[in-house]
Amino acid sequence: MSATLPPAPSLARLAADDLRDGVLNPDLWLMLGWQDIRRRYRRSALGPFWLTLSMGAMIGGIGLVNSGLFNVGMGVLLPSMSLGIVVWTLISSSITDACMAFTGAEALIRQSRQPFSTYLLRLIWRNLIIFAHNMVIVVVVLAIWPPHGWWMLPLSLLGLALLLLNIGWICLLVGVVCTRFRDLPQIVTSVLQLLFFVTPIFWLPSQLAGLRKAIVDYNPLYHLLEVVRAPLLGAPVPALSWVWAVGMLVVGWALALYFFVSFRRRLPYWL
Amino acid sequence: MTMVSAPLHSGHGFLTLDHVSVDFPIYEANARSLKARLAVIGSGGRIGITNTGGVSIEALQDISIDLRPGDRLALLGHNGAGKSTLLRVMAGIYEPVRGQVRHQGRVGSLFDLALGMEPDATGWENVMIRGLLAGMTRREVLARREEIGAFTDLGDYLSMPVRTYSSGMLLRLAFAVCTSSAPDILLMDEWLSVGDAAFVERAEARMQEIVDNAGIVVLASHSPELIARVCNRAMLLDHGKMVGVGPVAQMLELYRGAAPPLG
Repeated sequence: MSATLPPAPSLARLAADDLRDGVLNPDLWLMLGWQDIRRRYRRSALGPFWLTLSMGAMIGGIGLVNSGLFNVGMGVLLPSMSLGIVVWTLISSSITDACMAFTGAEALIRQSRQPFSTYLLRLIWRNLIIFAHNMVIVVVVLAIWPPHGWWMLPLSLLGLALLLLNIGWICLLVGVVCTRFRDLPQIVTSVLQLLFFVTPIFWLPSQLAGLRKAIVDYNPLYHLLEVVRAPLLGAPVPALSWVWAVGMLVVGWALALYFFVSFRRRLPYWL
Repeated sequence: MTMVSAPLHSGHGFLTLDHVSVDFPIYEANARSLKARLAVIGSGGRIGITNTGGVSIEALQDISIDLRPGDRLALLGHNGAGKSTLLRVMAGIYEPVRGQVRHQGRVGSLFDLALGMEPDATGWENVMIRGLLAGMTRREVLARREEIGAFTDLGDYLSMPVRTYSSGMLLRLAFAVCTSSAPDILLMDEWLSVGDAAFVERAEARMQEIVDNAGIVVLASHSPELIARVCNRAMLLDHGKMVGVGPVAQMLELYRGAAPPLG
């Protein structure tokens, strides 16, 4: 019987098909992402705006305190802080959700055949919806303290695209490894929490001097944050941040694809 | 599993399993822990577990079958014989550890009636959800909406949340969506039993349509009557091994005479 069968497609071919089939069938993950949001907020009138509201209150409160502590004007701190926390939330909740991307979709994976990439696109889309809600805060803050200019706005969209592509490989990698090792989600959460405090979100990178500057310069998430944030603040993006963002994109996807190609077919067995 | 792009059989669907085996790894808690694994590596095996699993269950062993258009295969066997696993291998959910699965044509599978359904959403909304899960686009589902609704015969219930549905009603909805995507290969786990007589009759008629359109049906069931009516071939499984493949009557007889269920 085997003589009549053409040779089996390679693992790389199957992984590439998976990614392509997922991306090219947006109807499915758009729906799944929306359903996640609707399920979470079905009985609340404000929906995801509840999160926005509490985030806005937090930014107002911490902004007030920190601008006094650091002796920095609200007009300088708040735009940077609000953008920082909104973009950070997109990054960190995507990565946290990625830990559960496959284990949380166990029923769908075991009972129906879908590309695995569908579940990753679903979670990124879901977090983008929440991100869009939270951007209301940024709009309000920037209306009160406008940036020096809007001419760099398109650069910010380029930065956002770069950020999302980076989130893509991180989620793919985290999703695959967390399916195999079930204690990894806690480790990921701890690491994200640590990174949150060493990333200039509630404070300004310029406040660190000397050796401590390395905390910012070698923080990959800072650079991902900066390619979106700096242009919206009317500031030039540091060249170093572009290099980091693009470098991570290349190295990160290579790493994530290696794992995906090697272990994709094992995922249903690990559930 | 993958679509073979070069047609081997003049545009018709096929489903071929070639010496397929499937093992399920059984992980102990430690084997699932990265910290435990790192402790072993970091200490050269002196600390922590040394045996990281290695236990596995052979769910399917050396299964081969070649299904061609018009084949309606029944999967027979006691609980735990591997029927459901085999269906999932055919659907491409589990890629076999050894051996190969090839198919050509659109696969429609119906394993879990409530799969992906939103209990608080209406029947119509769930038609969309299930349609997208079955591989249709939003546009395709909308185009077939009326036809799907008519086949379910659920009437105004389609505007009600599906949490109010009985399992028979869920079956109508799930079956209508699944078969409307015009699959060339239809895979079904045993649940047709929850439908009432009138619906089962319509469902059988629709399965016949699929077969008439040069399709393949694979059905796992414990109901000899259903199998005898719907299927023209049968495979008897026991503990993941293929006991036999042949005409339905012969396999049913073998099944009745086979060893009693586990335990």
